[in-house]
Amino acid sequence: LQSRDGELIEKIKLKDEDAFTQLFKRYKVMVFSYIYQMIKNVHTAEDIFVEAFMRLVKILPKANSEFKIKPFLYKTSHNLVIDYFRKQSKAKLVSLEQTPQDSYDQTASAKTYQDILGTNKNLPSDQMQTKQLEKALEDAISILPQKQKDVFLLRHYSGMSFKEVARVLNCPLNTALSHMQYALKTLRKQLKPFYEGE
Amino acid sequence: MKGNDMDSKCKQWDEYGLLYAYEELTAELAKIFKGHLEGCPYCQNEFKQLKVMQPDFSLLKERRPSPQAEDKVYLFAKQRLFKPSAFKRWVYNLQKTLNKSMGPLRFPLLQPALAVAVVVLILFLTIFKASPPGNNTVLLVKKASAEQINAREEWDTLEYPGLEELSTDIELIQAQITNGQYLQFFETEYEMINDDIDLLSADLDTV
Repeated sequence: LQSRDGELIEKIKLKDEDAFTQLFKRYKVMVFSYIYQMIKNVHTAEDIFVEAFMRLVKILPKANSEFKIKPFLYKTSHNLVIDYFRKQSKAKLVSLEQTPQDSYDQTASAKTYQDILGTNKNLPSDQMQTKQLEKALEDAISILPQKQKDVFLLRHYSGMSFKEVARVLNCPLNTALSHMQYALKTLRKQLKPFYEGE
Repeated sequence: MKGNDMDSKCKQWDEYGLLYAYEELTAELAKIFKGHLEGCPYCQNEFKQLKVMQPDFSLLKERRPSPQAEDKVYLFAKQRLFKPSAFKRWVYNLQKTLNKSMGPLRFPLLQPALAVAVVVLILFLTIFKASPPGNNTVLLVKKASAEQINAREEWDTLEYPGLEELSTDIELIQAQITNGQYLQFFETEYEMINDDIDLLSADLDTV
């Protein structure tokens, strides 16, 4: 039986190391997957991952049992990713500032997977096709503008509701939903060859 | 909720469609949107397309951090959460004791300050109790050595009564015994002097 986050926090405050291990195991894959999908570089993703958990460790002694670990971890990771991109280049910064509509127009002109696959006869049920779909999905996500990517990945990796995602990203629910709509449209366009038979 | 044809965008989809597809609408709103969906081709199409893609989103690979990255987190957590310094632990315990005996204090910094003051006082007392002035080991050794030297000097300068003097004493006592005066007393004295002579002879042998 898994303890609630609040119980684990209380146990950690009583110096229970197993409680921390349990908490870390609960979130490490989810958080790292999210960061990796955002950064697409294992070493940088690991640095951000470690930093995010270090920040959690620092805050745990002051946290009460109502403290929401998941939103904290995702918000921290998100902010660290944004900082990383800001430091990277001005060009990246410009892409962060894009409106969803602009981004959609930009991604619409991206190379479609029909060109890559050369055929649209295969169905996703086929194992090889599944591999290709997996790769295509990752690539399609990687070309999404930052905010759309944020909403999409947070919703699908963290299991948070749109309301929670909006809170993490510090934006209204409608804005988060709008980003998701554009993200889905782009993904649909990019993955069209895989679904044409259906 | 009004119905729309497939080409024109439906505002209902923007507002409720995604929440409905991800099962995040309240039961009441979900019921209303379901009713709308049945009569709206645009929403039906969007819903159908999303439902086809949705299972494939789980194909997104989960990534695991390397053991090194995990170790870094564990190590940091161990240092930060589970191994406070001995002093911190001591202050914490003292604070707890103070809290118990004095009740929660109004000023949060007062207790740690008191704890530190008590530590300093105890350290001070311990140091001075362990070696009170004039009674430490070095001084004791010095004192013992001085006593030994004095005893040696005293021994060296010791003057022994001459044997002749003692013999005179004995003759005098013998004369008195023969005179019958104080017989018992002198017998005792005689024995004591004889003992002294033995001791002196032994001492002289050693010297």
